[in-house]
Amino acid sequence: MQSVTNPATLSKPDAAIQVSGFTKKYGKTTAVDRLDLMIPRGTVFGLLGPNGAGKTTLIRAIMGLIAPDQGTVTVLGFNATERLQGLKQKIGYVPEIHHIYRWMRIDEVIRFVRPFYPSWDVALCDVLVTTLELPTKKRVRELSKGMLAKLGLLIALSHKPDMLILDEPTSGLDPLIREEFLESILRADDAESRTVLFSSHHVDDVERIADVIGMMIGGSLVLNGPADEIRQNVHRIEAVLKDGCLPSSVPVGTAWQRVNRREWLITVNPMTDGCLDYVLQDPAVVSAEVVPLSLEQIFKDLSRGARNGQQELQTC
Amino acid sequence: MLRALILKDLRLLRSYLLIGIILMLSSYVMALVIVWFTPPFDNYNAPPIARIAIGLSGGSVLALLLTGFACALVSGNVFTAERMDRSAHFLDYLPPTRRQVLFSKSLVAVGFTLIVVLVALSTELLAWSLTSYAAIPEKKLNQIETVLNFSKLVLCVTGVSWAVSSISKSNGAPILLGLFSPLIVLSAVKGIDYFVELPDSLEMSFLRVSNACLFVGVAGFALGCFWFLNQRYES
Amino acid sequence: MLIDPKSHVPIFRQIAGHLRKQIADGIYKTSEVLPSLRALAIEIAVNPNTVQRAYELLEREGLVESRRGLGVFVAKVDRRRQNRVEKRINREFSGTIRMAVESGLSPDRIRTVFEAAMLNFVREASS
Repeated sequence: MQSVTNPATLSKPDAAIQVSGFTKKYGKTTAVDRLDLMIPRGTVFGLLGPNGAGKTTLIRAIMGLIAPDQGTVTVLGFNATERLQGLKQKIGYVPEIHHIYRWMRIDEVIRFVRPFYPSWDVALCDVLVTTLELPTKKRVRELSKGMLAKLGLLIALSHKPDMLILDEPTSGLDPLIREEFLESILRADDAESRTVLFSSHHVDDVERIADVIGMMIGGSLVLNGPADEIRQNVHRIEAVLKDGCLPSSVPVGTAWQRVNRREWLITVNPMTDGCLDYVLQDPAVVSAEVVPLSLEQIFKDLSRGARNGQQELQTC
Repeated sequence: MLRALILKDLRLLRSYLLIGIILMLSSYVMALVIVWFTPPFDNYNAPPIARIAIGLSGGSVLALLLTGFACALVSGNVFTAERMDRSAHFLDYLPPTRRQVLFSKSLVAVGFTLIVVLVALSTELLAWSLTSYAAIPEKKLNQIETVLNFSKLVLCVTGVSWAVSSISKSNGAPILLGLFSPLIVLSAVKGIDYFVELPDSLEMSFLRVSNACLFVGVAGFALGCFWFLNQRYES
Repeated sequence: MLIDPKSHVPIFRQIAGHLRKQIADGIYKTSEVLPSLRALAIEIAVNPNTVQRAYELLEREGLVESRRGLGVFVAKVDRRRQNRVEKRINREFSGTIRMAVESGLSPDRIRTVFEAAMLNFVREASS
């Protein structure tokens, strides 16, 4: 039998997740490019990013399901790639697509998974089954998408993990179930000390429950901080251009820009005082002002900017 | 933890195990029925005990042949069943280590095969011990070697199905390759014989082939274990 | 154009607000044509009917005017002022008419009273 290091005897690090220089390539495509990320214990970290940005690759590396080409991934002080049993027992994982044995009934799934976790709390599991309204006698293949997602959450929460990792947990779920899901993540007694990492497309979900938000585009982490900080750093400059004139250059930090008729829109990350001055100095510019952006708009602008290579010029 | 895994694997392979058990029982029943209703021949009317003994003996060989098919089904599905519906991904991020998963599957698949072989051998021994109570023509005795040789064929089937199943995505290839493996071994041995030009008798030949099969079966099992342990689930 | 579907401000009002600002900033100058309904709807990913409501709101305010077959244009400044004044007068008329109706006057009677007042005003203005 494989030797199992007992995590409890080792000193507790401050970082729940530490990623350094993580690179992963699939053939010619670089899915993740020299990524550095530190998530402190007890943080709820929301990971945003368009499809193909590398979110799932990062999460799989944290789960030890894939090995980095370069760099290290450390979870709760342990090398994620080694996939130690002791570490697995401290993590609750909810993947995007569930592959739970379809022939099992829900109560059979619970009975199957329970012996794998020494910290399994039977009473908590019963409470969750009731709260999540799961029909214990139904087989997994008969479950709706929402029920399946809730089952995944149930088996992740019932063993009171030190870390909860969710990969697009609410994708395809209706708004009510999404809310129930988020509630369940936050409700638990030990929720304060637990670290949560979840990736999502739903910016509002992330905004609601995350302490820190990270945004990945094209394999890199372009934003990383609390929501307020991000909203402070990323702004839009709305400028009015003279008739028939085009701006000559963009300020430093431009993530996305667009010219439409006499309107010139620029999204800047990070915004500095110099950016507005730079725009005002452009001979083509009549006036300009700085406008705040919602998190969702920031997400869209940054994604668009990366996709179109910063250029979006429309003819009048 | 292992108990949960074993119960799960048993449930996963339930239908194939059941097929095996049914085939085994049917073999004995069929053999006994046939022998029971055989009219006397060569002026020899076998007494009931003798009939039972012959029936059990014949049944053992038949059981091995038919249940061998079920062994291919079991070993052919032991890894691929979870791969085909992707539940292997689910198992992969749960705490059990690869070794524990492997151990559980070995217990079920190989255990089943060994039970089949043991049952066949013990009924053969039982039949042989019964012959001391009745007079039976010499030829009918000593099927033990035959049973042993056929057991080796069954082990070959299991081992090859196991090996292919550990790397295959579906259960078709493992089952078919497992079933045909004794024939392949036979051809290989015969081919070598032809070139080496060894003097040969039919019995010696069968013994050699079955020993080769045993070797292939064990090697297959070891290979399958090695391949499974070194896999990464990447998609 | 930044539309916030979650805000309690209806989307058509948000669109109207942005257009008002763009006109004030000079992005659309006087007598220039605004984007067609369909074009703007596609650009901001909003239902064309909602865009239409926004245009209609701006037209009621007198900021834009639609010319059949040609599109929606930014109204001239003095026209805009005129439109604004007309709007105010319309409001005051509505208030007076309501008061008259509540006092029990019939529409014909109200019209008679108005015409008398109009006549009186013109006579006094010319003298």
